[in-house]
Amino acid sequence: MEQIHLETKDLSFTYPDGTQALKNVNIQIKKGEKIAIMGPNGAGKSTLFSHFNGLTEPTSGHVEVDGEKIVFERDELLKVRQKVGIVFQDPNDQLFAPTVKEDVAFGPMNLGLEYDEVKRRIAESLEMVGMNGFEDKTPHHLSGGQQKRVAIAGIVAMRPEIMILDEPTAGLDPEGVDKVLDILNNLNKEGISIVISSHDIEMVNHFADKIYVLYDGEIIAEGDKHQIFSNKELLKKAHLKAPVTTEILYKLKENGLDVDTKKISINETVEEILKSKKS
Amino acid sequence: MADITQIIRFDDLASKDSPIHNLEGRIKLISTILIILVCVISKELFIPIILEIFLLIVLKIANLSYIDSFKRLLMLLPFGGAIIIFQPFIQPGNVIWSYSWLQVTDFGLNWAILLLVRMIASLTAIIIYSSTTPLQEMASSFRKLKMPRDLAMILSIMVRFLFLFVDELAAIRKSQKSRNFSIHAKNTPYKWRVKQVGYTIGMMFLKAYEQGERVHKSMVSRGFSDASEMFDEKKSPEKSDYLYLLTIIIIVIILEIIIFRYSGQLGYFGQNLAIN
Repeated sequence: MEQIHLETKDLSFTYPDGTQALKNVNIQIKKGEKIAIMGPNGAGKSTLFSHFNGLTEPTSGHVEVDGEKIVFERDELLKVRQKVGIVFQDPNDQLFAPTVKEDVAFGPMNLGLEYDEVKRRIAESLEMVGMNGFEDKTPHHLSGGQQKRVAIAGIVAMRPEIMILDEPTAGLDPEGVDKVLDILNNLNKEGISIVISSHDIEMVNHFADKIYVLYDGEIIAEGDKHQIFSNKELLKKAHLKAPVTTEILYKLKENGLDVDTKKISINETVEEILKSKKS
Repeated sequence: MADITQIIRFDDLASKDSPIHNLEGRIKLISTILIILVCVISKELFIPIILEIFLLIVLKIANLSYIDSFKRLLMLLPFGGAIIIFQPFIQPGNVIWSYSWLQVTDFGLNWAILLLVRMIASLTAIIIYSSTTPLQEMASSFRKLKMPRDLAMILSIMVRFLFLFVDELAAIRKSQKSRNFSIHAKNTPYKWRVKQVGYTIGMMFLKAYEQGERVHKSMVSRGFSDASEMFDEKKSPEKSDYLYLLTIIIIVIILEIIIFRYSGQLGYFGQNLAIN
């Protein structure tokens, strides 16, 4: 269970124009974990993600998948890209085929699978994201939330072991967010490790087991949500905001109530308030 | 003026439901090409005219509006029409009308009439095809008919991103409009207005380039290589599809027999009007 799935070792990346986007990034993703990488715009999240399946070659350091260093050779990369699937932030960057089914089929076709298997995977992955019945639709005619789910299906169809999602809930309405999170939780239950990037604190609060905070190309903190969200200094530095529950607990403490500011979930917060009221 | 944003309306029209819309894409493509070929090689008016009547019936079955289709025909006509209009004046033959140096010959006039009829029938076939087949189905028909893989992929991707392009352009124009920009507005210098349009076009190029880079990255991320194949659902044409194609073939054969055997009794319609 504690097997390390994906790991970066002293990963650094400098763009040709000299901008240092990543500085000695060390991240560990264990099998079955749900990880969130948080950070402000321009912190280097997308650049980091494109290293995870060998889309970008690091300037120094390296990435290991299942303990093996990514080798930049065609066949090796194909294997890595099957294992590590990336869902891009803008579905328009990903959905390029004229119909939904052709797009979902794209990954499996590149894996060289048989026609029947490809067909099976189209049905299976569209079912998984609740988009069955949309096979012949044009991606352009779908809503943002539906496009996102089709983009996820396109990756699920490759049967990856790790799924990387860049801002999976950005621009979605609350129902769309819930649907995407349900899909991700279901995938996770089937043993897929999930890495997301986001600056939506409330969403990450509900979703992630472990959080890394990326700021200016560096990992400035890692830990579970209690450790990260109760650290107001850190959040301020990373241009993030604490969850409302944390804000409330801090205010109560300032007003002299004896509450534990490390509590995060709504239920825990309510309990803290009731407890301090009684005492 | 036709607007690029019209293309979306066009595709909506093509996505409707009718016996003709529901025909298999390849069958529609082949029938269209067949009709055009037959029209182009016919030397008598008879065949293209009967085919045109047949196409008008198809138009009715497809629930397409005669007026809209006619408008579209008028829009397309000038392209070939420009060549046709000179024919009566430049072809040698017996002069039937003249005014100073201008003269019309009978051969020329007949040839022009034949060309016009051929063109109307061919364009009607194309209009029916394009108004009953969504762009993505056209792309997949070409692919299934063994178009070279790279060309087919370019076509498919183009079809997909054409819509995005149109949306982006429409969004830019909307935001310009909301700030009172109009190319015809006289309150700003003409040069400045043209420059703004230039910026818009430049921006579209830039956006298209960047979009292309991002799409390529995401394709590579899903294992894309120069050996990648696109997925084509194996769907064989149904009975009704073959029936449609067969109807056209039978009509063509009957027409050819009539022309071969009875062209003398058809009068002007059976005459060979082509110039060799």
